[in-house]
Amino acid sequence: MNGAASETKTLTREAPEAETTPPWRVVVLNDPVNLMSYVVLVFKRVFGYPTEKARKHMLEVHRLGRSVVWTGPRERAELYVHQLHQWKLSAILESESTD
Amino acid sequence: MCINCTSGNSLQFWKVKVRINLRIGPGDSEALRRNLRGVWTGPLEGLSRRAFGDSELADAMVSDLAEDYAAEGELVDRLLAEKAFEKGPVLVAEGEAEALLRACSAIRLALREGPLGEVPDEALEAGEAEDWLTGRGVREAFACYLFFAALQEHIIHGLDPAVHEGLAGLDGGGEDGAPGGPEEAE
Repeated sequence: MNGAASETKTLTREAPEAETTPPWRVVVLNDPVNLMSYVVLVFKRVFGYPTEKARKHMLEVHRLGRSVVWTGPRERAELYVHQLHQWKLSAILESESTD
Repeated sequence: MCINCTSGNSLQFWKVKVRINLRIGPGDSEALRRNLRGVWTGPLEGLSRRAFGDSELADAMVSDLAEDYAAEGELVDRLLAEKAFEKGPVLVAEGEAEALLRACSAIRLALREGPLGEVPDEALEAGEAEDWLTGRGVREAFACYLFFAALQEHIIHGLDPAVHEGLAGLDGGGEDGAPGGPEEAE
């Protein structure tokens, strides 16, 4: 050892927002107007879900009044909610931190 | 109103076209247009505000939705003005078919908020609202409501026939009492 103080550096990395903030939920609410087949088609188009998964979510909406159709970072959740509104479905955003 | 059809899709010039064979009687196009006047609103604007709060983002989203409503309304009005559904099969590009689908929902939501406001949701959902159809205006609005449900069913069948598989018989099997369900794709 030559007497020079050894330096210990602590490297910190800012985690992306998506990793630090709680996930957001895209929730579709039931309405008496939109057809079951239409809702299945919309889930397939917006989320790229296979028919079975789209149908499962549609039935949740129909029978339970709501279905969490997607969970993830806020920005993407907002985009999905807007797309669902464009398809005239009742969709809302929920933060998992509010549970 | 007589509604009967077959729907499917076909490839033309490398572009997916959706064929909608939903026939209505002479004069029905004008009756539909008449019923759509004044109902073309944005019933989801409130929901958009609720989802995105009172922010610039919300303003942008609402403005975007308003543009969609306008474009979809123009598409429906053009098809009805051309009496397209009185003449025979209507061939639309896939993107146009999707816009038409969304327009059907917008119209039905607006009719429910407006002239069909007194009809209970259960009756609307079952397509059995006779007890509440007390005046000519309400009866026409309900016929309009059913027409756009039938139109949606046929477009969906043309775009993605797999969607309908397994839906028959669910919770009593009713899909809004939409008349003239799609037959085999052509």
